[in-house]
Amino acid sequence: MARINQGFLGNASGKLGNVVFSKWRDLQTARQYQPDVHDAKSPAQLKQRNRMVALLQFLKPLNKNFIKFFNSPISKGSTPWAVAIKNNMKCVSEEGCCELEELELGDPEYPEDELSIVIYNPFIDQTSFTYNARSIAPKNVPYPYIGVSVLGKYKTLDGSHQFDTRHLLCFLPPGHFFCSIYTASSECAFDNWWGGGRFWMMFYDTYDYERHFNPNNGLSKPTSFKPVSIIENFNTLVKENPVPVNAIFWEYQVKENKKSIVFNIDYKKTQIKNPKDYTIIFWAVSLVEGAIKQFDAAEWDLAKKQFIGPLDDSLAKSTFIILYSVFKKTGEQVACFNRFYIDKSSESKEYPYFQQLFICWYAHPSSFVLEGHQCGFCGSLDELFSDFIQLFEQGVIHNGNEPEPTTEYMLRMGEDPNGKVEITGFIREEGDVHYFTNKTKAILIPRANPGYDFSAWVGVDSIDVVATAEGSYELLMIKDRSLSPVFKVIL
Amino acid sequence: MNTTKKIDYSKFRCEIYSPEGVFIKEASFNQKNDFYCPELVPGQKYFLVFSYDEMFVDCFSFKCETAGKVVYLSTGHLFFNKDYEKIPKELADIIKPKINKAKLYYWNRHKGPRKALDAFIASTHDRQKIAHRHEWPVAYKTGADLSTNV
Repeated sequence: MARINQGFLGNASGKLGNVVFSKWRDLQTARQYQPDVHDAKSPAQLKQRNRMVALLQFLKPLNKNFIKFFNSPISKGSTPWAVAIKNNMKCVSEEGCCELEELELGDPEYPEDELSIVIYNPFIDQTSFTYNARSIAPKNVPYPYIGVSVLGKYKTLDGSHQFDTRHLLCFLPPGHFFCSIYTASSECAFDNWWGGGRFWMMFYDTYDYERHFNPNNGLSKPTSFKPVSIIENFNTLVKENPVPVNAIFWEYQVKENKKSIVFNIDYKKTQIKNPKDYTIIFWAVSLVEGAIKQFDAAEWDLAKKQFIGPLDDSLAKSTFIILYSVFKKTGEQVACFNRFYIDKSSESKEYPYFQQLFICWYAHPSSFVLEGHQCGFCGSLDELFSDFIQLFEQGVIHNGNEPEPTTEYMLRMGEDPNGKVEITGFIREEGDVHYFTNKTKAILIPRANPGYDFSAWVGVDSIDVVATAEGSYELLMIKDRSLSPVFKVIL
Repeated sequence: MNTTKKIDYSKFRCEIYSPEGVFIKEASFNQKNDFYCPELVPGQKYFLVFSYDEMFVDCFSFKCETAGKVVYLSTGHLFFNKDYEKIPKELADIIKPKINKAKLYYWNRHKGPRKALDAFIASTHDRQKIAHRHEWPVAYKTGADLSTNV
């Protein structure tokens, strides 16, 4: 029986004949009454339910983040979650499998853009993307402001869906995206190593305020990616940690004027019973300003308590990031990968981790996650103060007492296959462009090929060319010039 | 046209001050001409004074609410946040010689080809446009997590 709450024309709830009235999210709805289903377990229905369950499990981790972010603006009269279910049901296979590559969120305005490089660096636990946003950023926009969303999916042994939803919307240097990296003390945190993922780009138009509140405006279709590790066979599938970082010690040694770094192991802090059956494979990166070097893998037979790595003079001021794992001598990996940072050079000078990464340009500071209750900032002088730099180099910024900067004008000489032009008086040349100081004269001598003769000058500046002698011409350089010779056949 | 007057990046400085005009520290630079400054307190307001050869270049009001975060400052901050504030008198007194040198060198940041700043000014209402015509520089607000706008 239906109940009418606000008079004859008011809202109703309940069943009236074959119609059911109800309220859903502030909307009054009426639908046809569905009697009981006689057989709720038909093969077709079971299959459909399995597909729905698979989709719900797949989408649930994304509900409060990616689905809300992308689908909210397109879910009028519905919910972001309902829109996600509706749009992605077709992506579920008959067997109930959901592929990340099929995931549809939001309402992209542009086709998918180019992701050129996706590389994972386990030394610093960083995935870096290089992208080209040319399809979404107009060419006439000098500072295209690109927001990036990255959804990573971890590899799992049981096939369960584990997502990394931390990078919902990031603003980083144009053309780059870097994953968050933590300090070197987090030994086996490789949170940024994904099996694959989806990458969205959003162009935020400066002059279109509405775009700032709706990511679907200026949104590109997502691009799928699979990161490649710079260390072959790197993985996070082995969880055991029989040789933790605190079991390994390092120190610098000098013997007979030769420097070396010495690693020692404390067997009591390991879970290895027969060290002679195991070996540690480790990889190293040396960091020193202006020279980053990645070394080949080295093998440390754990039957020996010590490993000595020689250091040449170029490494005297270096710090090192070490990555290692433990293997049986039969080749089986028995430990997770670990990493640690050697923050002292052999000259005993300390280099804090993030500061060293920044100075050496091994990672961008916008990806640093600082320890403790602190924050920071970073940026590029070239990007932020491009106008100042440009005006300074043009001499607009000056105090009047300084000597005026030397002004150069360029002469661009066109080509004719039937001859060449000999140019003198310039201060330098770059390709086919010759540079002259202000108010100097460019001397031009046309040299025709055999059978041809010089005929005339063409181009906007040809009117200023003055003949000084037979076969010789001058052009006063008081602005940038462009000129071409014409050679004709001798009849 | 070309000139031989090249910028010397080693003359850039980024000083961090408290609103009371107390000097806190300087940001560091690398060979890629990037700047970086950690160890600031989330929620605390700072004024970042950029200068070149002791000439005032620009000033930003910076506040980051999130612990652990390193905010990437870009021109986007200027037109996204659409806000500015007066430089406190205590700080203005300290950087006055820098500002005077900037005036002496005819550096007026509103005249440059700073498209983002143009956009910022174009997007503000008339009262703010009048404020922009003031001779004394203002500090543009930066540092908020821009994604909160969306």
